[in-house]
Amino acid sequence: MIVKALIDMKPDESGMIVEITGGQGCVQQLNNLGLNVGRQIHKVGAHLWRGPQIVRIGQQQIVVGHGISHKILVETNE
Amino acid sequence: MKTVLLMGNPNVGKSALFSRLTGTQVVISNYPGTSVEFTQGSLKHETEEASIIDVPGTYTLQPTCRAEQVACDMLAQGDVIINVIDATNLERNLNLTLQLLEKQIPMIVVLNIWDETKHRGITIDVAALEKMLGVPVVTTCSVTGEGIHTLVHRLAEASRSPLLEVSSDTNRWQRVGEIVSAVQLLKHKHHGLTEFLQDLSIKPWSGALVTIIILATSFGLIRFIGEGLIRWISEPFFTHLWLPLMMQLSQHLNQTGFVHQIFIGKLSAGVIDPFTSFGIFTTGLYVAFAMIFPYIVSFYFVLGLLEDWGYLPRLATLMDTIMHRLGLHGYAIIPMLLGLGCNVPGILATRILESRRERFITATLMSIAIPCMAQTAMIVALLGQRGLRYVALVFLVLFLVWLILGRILHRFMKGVSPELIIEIPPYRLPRLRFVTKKLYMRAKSFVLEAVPYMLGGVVFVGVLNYFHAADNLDRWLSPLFTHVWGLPAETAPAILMGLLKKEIAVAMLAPLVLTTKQLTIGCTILALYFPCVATFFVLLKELGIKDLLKTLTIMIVVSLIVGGLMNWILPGL
Repeated sequence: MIVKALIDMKPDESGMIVEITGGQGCVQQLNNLGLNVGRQIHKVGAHLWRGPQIVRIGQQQIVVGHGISHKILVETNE
Repeated sequence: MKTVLLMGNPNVGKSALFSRLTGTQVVISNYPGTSVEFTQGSLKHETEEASIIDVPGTYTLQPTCRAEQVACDMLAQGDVIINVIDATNLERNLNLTLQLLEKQIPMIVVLNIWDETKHRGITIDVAALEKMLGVPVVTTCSVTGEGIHTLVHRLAEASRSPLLEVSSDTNRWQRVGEIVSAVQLLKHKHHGLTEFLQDLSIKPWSGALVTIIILATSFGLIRFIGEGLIRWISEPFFTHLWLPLMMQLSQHLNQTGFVHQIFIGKLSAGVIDPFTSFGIFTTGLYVAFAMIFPYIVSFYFVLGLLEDWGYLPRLATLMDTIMHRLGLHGYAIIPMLLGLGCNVPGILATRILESRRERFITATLMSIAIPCMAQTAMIVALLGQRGLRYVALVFLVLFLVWLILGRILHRFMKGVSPELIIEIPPYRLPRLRFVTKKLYMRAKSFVLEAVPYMLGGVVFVGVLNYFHAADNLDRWLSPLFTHVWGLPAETAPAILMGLLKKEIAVAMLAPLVLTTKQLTIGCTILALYFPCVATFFVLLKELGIKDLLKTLTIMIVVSLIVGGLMNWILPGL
């Protein structure tokens, strides 16, 4: 079990969110879309040049900006 | 009369349901944030009449943007809430449902998009959900109209939930989790072709390729349909039917006089030239309906297809990297795209952006560097005669202005560019009936809201010419025009007309004898330098007077510099 930021996850890697280190507004916005602590997420891919990260929660695809993806900490198997 | 609020997360089909319930036509699309303002309609059932309000989508009752603020403010007016839920996304939607239940307003829950649950392998026990929430739950498909009758019948059963204790965010998600695991059964589905395509269009390399193909096809299609309509319908109609009729009217009016000037305008060599006569029935109708309207139709048709298909949020993702360099995030591309049709709805759509800074940058960039379709159609018609490469040049310059100005604004304005956080809706096959309905509404609002201004502008110019009122303008504006922009002094009235209506201003360049270089610069300056009247007022409403003045100053400076640079750099054409 390793905890790493969403940005450091490889494409097609899955894990569980263990912490969100952003400010209240950021946590709220992520929370609105169901990105909260305890949730299983799957990283679909990432865009180059500090681009956004694409994740899937259940059947829902969600895109989060590069900056925020540092703040989402995920526990993965690798 | 009771007030019923249609509330729910963005992109769950509230507007489609609203349109089903009330018969009122509203714009519906497949992306979060289509409705940024509320719409009101009424529903009559048996003897009771209720007022129904389509509230902009919100994820939460603690608003994070202006569209959500509108939603939360509406809450105070509601007697009954219809909470619309995307049945394929139960878990996320229920969070708002619990927040709404805490408000203790009588409520009924609608599981919309019900038809899609089947092929996505989702089973929901509606009776169990009803029991757990303590309010009635019905299933609908607002696109086909399934379940609407049941909803109307059961609306009176809307009730306050007896089962609820007020909770914190964490507790609420826990409760949502309990409910979902009790009522929903997911059959594991393999990654199908749809999912494969959805991933393909959003992943970096394949996504960029898909975007280029889609945008190129879209522009090709817009031009193909627009030119087709002009060549086969509007041009023949005007040249063979309408203008001969107007020639007769002109003779009837003895070819001179004030009335003749207003309706027919000035004759050139004894005949009507729809480009130069400037009468309501000649240049006015010709510009509005023969040249611009076909492009309005083709643009909104293609945009409607992209909207309903669900492509726009994917484009937003791909543009995020570039938009960040302009102090925006990817979603700001959606208002910009709408602005290509007409700046007014484009600027209203900036309400989906979170911060004031973002809205200012988006609205400013849009009103400066994004020409509306009316203007584009005129530029294509006029400058296109000299060669499409000059049209491309105008758009290249506008694009560069968009990039550089955005960069500068980002650099010098206080604040940071916020981060993109959006959900990507699944692809859905656009239904022709909805696409044409939306096209009809947008075309209608063009005819009712933009065309009168155009006709007014044409009359205004015609009357000015008739009294030779603008002749002196040439003289005192000429230093600016000749020295900075290299334009002859006769273009002064056209540039001034741009303050009111830009496409008419472009049309006013037609009768002047200009070199290709002058025409290119003239079209670019007209696109850049000032918003049309309608855009001016919507900017005032959305930004306030102080920011509007800032925007206007930026515009004037930009058009002076860019026009000057073009005059200096471009070789004589």
